[in-house]
Amino acid sequence: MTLDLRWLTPLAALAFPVPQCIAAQYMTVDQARMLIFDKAVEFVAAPLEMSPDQVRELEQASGVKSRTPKQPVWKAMAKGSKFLGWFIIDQVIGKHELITYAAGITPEGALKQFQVIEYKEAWGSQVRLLPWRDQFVGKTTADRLEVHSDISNNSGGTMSAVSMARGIRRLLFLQQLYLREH
Amino acid sequence: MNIKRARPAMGTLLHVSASGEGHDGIQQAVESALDAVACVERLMSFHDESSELSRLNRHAHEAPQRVHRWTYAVLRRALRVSEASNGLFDFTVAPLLMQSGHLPVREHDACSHGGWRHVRLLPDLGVAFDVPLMLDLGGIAKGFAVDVALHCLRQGGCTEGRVNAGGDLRRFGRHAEVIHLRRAKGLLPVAQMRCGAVATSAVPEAHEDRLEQPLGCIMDPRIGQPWRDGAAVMVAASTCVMADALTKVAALAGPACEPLLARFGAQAQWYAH
Repeated sequence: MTLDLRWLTPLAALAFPVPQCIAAQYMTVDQARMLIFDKAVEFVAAPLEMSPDQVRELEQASGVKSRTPKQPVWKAMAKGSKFLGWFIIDQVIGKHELITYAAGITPEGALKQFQVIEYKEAWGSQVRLLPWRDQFVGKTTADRLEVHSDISNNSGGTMSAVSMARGIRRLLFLQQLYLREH
Repeated sequence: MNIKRARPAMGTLLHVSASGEGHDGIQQAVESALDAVACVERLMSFHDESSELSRLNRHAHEAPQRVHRWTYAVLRRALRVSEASNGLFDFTVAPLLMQSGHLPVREHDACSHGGWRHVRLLPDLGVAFDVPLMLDLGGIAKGFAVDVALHCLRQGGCTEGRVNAGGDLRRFGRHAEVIHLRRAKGLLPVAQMRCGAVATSAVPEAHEDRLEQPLGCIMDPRIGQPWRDGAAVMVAASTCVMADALTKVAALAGPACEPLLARFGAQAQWYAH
């Protein structure tokens, strides 16, 4: 147990902070798939596009707004075409952060696991102006926003985790209402 | 090989990053780090009524309670800091935090003149209260969770590791890294750290418009009011549990507490508005 730290000059600390964006990529979509459904041999695309009525119904049921009527969904299949569950990609937006994550939902409608794929946080410009990736699936770490810093070495200010909890709640209702095995 | 993971935990987004030889070993170490944090949360959450902490708050004044060695370790450190700071660090202010809306309201008969001096640690992981008390480990458990997570990374053979739970962060490795302080307008580079831990406390106003959930506050046990002087304080120490607990002392006492921090091998920087 040692402390090896050097404070930077107070001048640097007093400098006006520059508006910036920080981001961290935690894994690719493929890695998330294999972590959540490690027994899967195939992922069958089953994208969902909700009608305006369905969007409203989902919002009423879950209490969470949908950002878009489109939802990237896959069916995870094991050997012998055994259905393992749903693999869903989603993005949630906090006041200043944008989190892309993947959730696995079992055929019974329970959350199996989720993994954070990417985290972005912006200053100066609103996070809402960050490029959204409606078709980000299949893209790799090479396709990244220019960043100035990694999230993990920043201290101070508890980040909000409530937006993710709300996002997962929305996905569970989405599965219950609109996803069918056949 | 570098692996990064993030997961909501302890009321924030927990970030873990680790490097080393061999993908599977590092991945396993990272997973065990995340599991360890989840375990600390289950034991010491005030919000979870089935946590060990909630059990203590309900029953430790009636009969001694046996607790997990981690809960015991956190209580022992909390008492050390309370004693050294003469109560400036106080983990019995939950009734005040319930009143101010920072903690969910619980039925309690916590004694108004009770405090940390009434917490007794007994042999064999036993804990007893002399009078009814409401403990809240929100000011120290997150730092402890970071420490156990980092321990998992080390044990798992990682050569570089970093754990950050909403600003309570600890790292180890060969290379120094710039640590930034998150402010309402951006990031400030404040230190270069190779090994060690930092924790930060800021008055809620410094971040209010950036957050969707209310930020915790530091309750000043001397006046029963939230801390408002200054804007932020950052404490560095060899362990995150100590950095976390000592930020409360540093915030309330200001630079006058530097000798006390030094006794714990800690340093601090204060930032004005």
